[in-house]
Amino acid sequence: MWSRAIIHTGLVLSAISLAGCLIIPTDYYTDSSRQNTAEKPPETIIPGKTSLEEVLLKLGEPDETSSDETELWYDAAKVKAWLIVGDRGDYIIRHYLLVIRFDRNGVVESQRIEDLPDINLEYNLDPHFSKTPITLPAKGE
Amino acid sequence: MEMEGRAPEETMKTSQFKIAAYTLCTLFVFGGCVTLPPVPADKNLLISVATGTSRETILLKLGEPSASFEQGRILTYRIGADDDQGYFLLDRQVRWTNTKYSLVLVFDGKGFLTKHNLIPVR
Repeated sequence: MWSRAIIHTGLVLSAISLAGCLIIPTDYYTDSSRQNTAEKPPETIIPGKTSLEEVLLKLGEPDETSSDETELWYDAAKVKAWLIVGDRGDYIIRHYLLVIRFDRNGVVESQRIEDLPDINLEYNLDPHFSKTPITLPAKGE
Repeated sequence: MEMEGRAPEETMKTSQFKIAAYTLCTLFVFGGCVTLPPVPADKNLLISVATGTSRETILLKLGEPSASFEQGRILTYRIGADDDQGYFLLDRQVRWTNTKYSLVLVFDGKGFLTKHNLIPVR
């Protein structure tokens, strides 16, 4: 059974190589990424219970903080594959952005992971309690 | 037959412009190659970090924190570590290159350290 799997894998890799494109799956953090957060939100952080202080004592300094300290971002970047096309190569990097949101009392309200491609993250968080709805001007104004 | 060429003043201006441009390019090129002095490491850097230490003592020892929360009640520092020479402080950067730990310090209302944790980030 194993030999069949190896043959199939070999055939697939050969076909891809001959087509001029090879994707080698990997899973490691980039050189500049933090490594204490990952693809899943940490189980030790419990919405409705864990405080800002406890989050900081568990995860350390966040990569970014909203100006009213109600949202923390922890950004982990991983190389998910090597992409080889002809004589050129590149990495496929994904960012796992852990977004922890706090209520007005500084207790975790929610947490989520945003799985992002390798883009230049713009660290300009707005305070999430001060967002005001945009009102469009009436016609003729 | 009309003489082709530029007036001497114009030629001078052009050459001055060229010299300025070359100088600027050279400065930019060498500016990117400046080697920063190594950050001094200290095995006793974190020795003053103990429950009950005043905020003032911490700031005098470690300097400006990389981040602060809740009006300065919680301070964080980015720490690098060298196996032989000890810990060293790192400035806040967008990324975590060379940073090994995040030091989190929590003070009480009177400014004394109540909780602290050295969290491995890499």
